[in-house]
Amino acid sequence: MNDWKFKPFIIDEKNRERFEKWTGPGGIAKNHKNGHFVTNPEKSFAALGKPLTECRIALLSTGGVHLADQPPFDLLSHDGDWTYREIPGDTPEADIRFSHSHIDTSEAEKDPNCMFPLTRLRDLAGEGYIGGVAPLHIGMMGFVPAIEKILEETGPEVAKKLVDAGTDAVLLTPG
Amino acid sequence: MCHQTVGLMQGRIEKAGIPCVSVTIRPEITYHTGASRSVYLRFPMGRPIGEAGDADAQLLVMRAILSVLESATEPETHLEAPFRWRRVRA
Repeated sequence: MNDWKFKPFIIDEKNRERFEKWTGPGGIAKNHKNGHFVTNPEKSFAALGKPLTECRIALLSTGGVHLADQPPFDLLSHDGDWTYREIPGDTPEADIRFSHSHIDTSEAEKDPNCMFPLTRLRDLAGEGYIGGVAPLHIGMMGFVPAIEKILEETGPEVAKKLVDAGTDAVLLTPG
Repeated sequence: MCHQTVGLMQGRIEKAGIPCVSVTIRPEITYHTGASRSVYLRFPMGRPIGEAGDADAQLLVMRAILSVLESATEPETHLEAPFRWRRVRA
């Protein structure tokens, strides 16, 4: 395996200031009265049970991912849209669409792999870097000030579906 | 908000027993969610895996991110990847 030269990400003064900008009066709350930032109530950590070369990987993206024949996300609600779309692992790239209220999706529309790298996942399975592509992937639109909906409804529901689908690990990408 | 939604979903999926790794472009937000494993890329919003049409670079980024599933042994492992936008090379 490649020896990636990762650096630990450490919260320094600059990062702290940046975070305070999000949470301060001029930040998210300025335009979204329910917008706030929270920490996971439980900081869970599951160890990888087998080598990556044997793992079936699923994608979850908050980049507004859905299929052409699924309803797009609600881009107007002040509480956001906490629903999710089930994307089968064998979905052709041409069927993937993006609808998002807060990011530019033009590059992802040109090449879905920028945001939702399903074809790249197939490539990695083909070369044996991972065990396979999981049967179920998840599309969401990440603008959700209604945080309790994520924690109490969407989160547990999606987690159960991924478990039932036999998912070994998940790669998440932000919108 | 998107980064927070990722971090919170990650927490719920991890709680169900599935290991997760997330990409982040706003690491200060991901850090605050207490996500299990994250990789910070200094990439523009909307393209967390890399440029449109550059499959080789996207694959390199994906291999690096996925490797953290194996290498991370502690909760809240937040790393910065050694890539720069438009200079993704091994």
